[in-house]
Amino acid sequence: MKAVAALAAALALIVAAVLVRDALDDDGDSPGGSSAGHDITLVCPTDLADACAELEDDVTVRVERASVTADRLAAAADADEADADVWLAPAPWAAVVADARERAGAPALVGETSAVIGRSPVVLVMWDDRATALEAGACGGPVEWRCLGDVADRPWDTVGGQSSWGRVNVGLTDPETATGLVVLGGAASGYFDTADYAANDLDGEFSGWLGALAAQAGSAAADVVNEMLTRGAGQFSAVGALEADALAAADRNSVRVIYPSPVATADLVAIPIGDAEGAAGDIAGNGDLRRALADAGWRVDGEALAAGVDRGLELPADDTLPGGGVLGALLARWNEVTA
Amino acid sequence: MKGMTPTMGTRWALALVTGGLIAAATACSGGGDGGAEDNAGLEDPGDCVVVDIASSPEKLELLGALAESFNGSDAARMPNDGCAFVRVQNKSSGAAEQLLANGWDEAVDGPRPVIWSPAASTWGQVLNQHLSEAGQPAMAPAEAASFMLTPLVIAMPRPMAEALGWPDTPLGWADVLALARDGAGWSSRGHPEWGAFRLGKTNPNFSTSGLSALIAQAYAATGKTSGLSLEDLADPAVDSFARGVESAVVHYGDTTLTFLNNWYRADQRGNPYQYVSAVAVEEKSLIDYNSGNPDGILDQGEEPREPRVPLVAIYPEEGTVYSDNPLMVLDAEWVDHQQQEAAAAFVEYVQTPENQARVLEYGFRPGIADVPVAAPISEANGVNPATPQTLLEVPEPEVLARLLDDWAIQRKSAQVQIVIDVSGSMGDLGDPETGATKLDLAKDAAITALDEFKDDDQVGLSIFSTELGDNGDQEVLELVPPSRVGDVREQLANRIRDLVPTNGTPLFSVTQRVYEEALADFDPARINAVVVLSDGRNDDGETADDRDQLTELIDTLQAGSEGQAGRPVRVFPIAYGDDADLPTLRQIAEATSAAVYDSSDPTSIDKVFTAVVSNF
Repeated sequence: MKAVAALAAALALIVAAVLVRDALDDDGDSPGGSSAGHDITLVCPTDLADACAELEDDVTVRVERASVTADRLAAAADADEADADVWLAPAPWAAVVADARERAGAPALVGETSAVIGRSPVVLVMWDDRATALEAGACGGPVEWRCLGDVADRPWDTVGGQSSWGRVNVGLTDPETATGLVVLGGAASGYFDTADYAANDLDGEFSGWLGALAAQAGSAAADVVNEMLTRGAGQFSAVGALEADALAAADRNSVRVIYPSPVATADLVAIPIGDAEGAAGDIAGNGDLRRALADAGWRVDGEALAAGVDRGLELPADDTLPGGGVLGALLARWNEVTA
Repeated sequence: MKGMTPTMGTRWALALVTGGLIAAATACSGGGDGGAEDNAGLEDPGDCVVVDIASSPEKLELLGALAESFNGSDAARMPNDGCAFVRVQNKSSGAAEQLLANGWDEAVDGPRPVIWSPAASTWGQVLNQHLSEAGQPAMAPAEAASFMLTPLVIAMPRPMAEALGWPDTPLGWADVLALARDGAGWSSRGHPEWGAFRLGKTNPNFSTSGLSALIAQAYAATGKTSGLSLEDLADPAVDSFARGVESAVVHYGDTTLTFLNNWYRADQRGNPYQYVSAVAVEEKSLIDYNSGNPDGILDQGEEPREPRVPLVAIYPEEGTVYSDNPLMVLDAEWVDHQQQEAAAAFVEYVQTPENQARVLEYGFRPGIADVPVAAPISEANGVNPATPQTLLEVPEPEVLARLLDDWAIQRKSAQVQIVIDVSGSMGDLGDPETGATKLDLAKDAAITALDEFKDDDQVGLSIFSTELGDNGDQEVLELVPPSRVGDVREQLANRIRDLVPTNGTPLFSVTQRVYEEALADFDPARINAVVVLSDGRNDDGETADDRDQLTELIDTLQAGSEGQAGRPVRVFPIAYGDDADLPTLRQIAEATSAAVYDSSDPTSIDKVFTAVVSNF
């Protein structure tokens, strides 16, 4: 009798396991069509590592800085040398790699990216009193990127604030992270008031503006919002980040989240390496990943918005960022002014 | 530098153009008919006979692509199952000539070339003359196959050319001379708003365009089209003609790209008329400019944008010369018979009609008659494929040498203040091999560069740091006031030798002050300039006003440089060492329509200093 009961229990466990697996597959579509051998390798940027952890049962996840991945993909002879199948990153990174390879005469390596998985606009997070001072002072209106760069690294008492506030210290998410490049691109779009700019426009005047914005680049980090909130106004007067990274700031009375114009967005996609478009599509549709991203503050179709996400903001149709070559040049200019 | 772009950017900037990797380096503005030098690793040729080519930069990409398609092809097959293997490296014409004349160090300068392809055959003449003067045999062949052609033209904004009667009225160097001598400037042509007539010409010791312009001017002065002689050059009228043309020069320099880039920036700001009125350039460069790519190179993320005001090419009625891009198989002791045969195979390969058609893509005219001139060499691009009507004979080597010697005297005099950073960091190690400090290297380079000035130039010397002077309260000390170099060359050298590193780097305030002093002493008969060598960021002990200081400085520089009443004092910064603030120095240079020079490798300072002084 005990044996029969044990067999029944075992069968029940098996059935339950199959049902759970099916349920997971229904809302997630197991990446690569097979989870048995983890034969798909997903490269995940450090700033999205938490969300990628949701996929570790199905794929091999390798976490590294986006710039490191871009370097390797740009230099790889072929997909085998790239040693990865899919890269999760904002779409511009795929364009940066494609541009670098094209310029070098190397064959294409990254395929057509997946549909956008989630979006997050670029924001400025600023202490409320500082924002108010700039609005009444040097900016003469809403704080935008152009004005913020113009006053960056200047003493507060010369731009409408108080001398005790020290200097206008601006922090930016490290542009070599997946989301940081988007923030940098958004800042430049703010400078030019359009995404329709090219490397030709990154002249000495722009470098001067960027250099001021980057004056505190030594403090650049993946999570500048956290640094600002934990260390106070002495660390940063304002920071540029993604909305998803600024959720903690949204419910603080002393802090303001500003959506500078034009609104630029990080449009997260799965980037196939070689012919892994199927796997990229599967990852993009994975329910666990999408839920994790939504919980982290990304705007994901079909998922509820996290607390702190501005529900009234209508995002632009595209990301309001320039092409990959321009972003690559912009990153080079950033490294030049922060060297 | 960190992260993606420095590593990836460097890697991909090293364009794989041939059997070898060739760096598209930029010292000042790079490319074109001057400047950039660099080598990178060269691909293993296996057992093939190696043909190394030293190519001037404007054809590097194309020549490299042809080498790549040649290597391994049937055309590269040699007798006895052998093969030829071509590698191309970047050497500007003037630099290669000096290396060939003075000794080519393979450890420093890359492989010695089997084929030398300067921009024009005249460089071969110059080389042979220099070798002859040193008692050595000629190295450049008398005849060499031309890879492709582009004539020297006088580029002008279309409205300015039209004001002179273009396209119906033939124009030439005599018109340039007339404008240069006309104190009323453009007023006499009905356009007082354009100010004085200003001419852009490069230094003929470095630049093919400069050398070609010098030849064309001399012929124009004599009325001849061939047989320019030493007697012609001795004619006072020829000397007067040359001095008259030179008097209108804005500044010189090692590459026309400095002019074209500055001109383009001025155009984008809406006023291309007051920086320069005309520049002697190759036709190809004008086509690049009008296509919105003034330096001929589309860097990462750049897109061509047509200028607001296009340039048109004036083919001097007195005649002009072609840059013929010869493929000269050198008669040098390091070139053996097998290499000569292999080189000949490559020369034959590039002259096939199929390959010659490709030169058109780059704005050059084909080197063989089988391939007709076609777009982009068209009137729509500001050039005329039916011209030039008159060609000038390249002078004999000794005449060329005399031309260059005379130019050193006839060229427009300069008034230059050299300002050297003597901050504490200048005492850092500059050359690990010799133990020389950065200041040591800069001092040697500055002293050497003094020889490049002509005796009549006015040159002064200042140093800057913090806590200078007897009371330690000064930021800049004028060690030698602007004086005739012929009188103070040794004094300048001695004061430079005595320099020692001290304290901070008050870059902004000192640049502002020295610029304002140069402006106050502005001499319209001279090229007025300030050379600032700095190895660090602005550091005057007070950071609060840094941005205001820079803003004020840039505003001051721009105000002085723009507008009809502008008294152009060019500021040529040298970014010296890894810690120099290159972006800010570039901003300072652009504000005065000058150029920044990158000497991030301190051991390159001697070459960089020479390039800077080539502007004067």
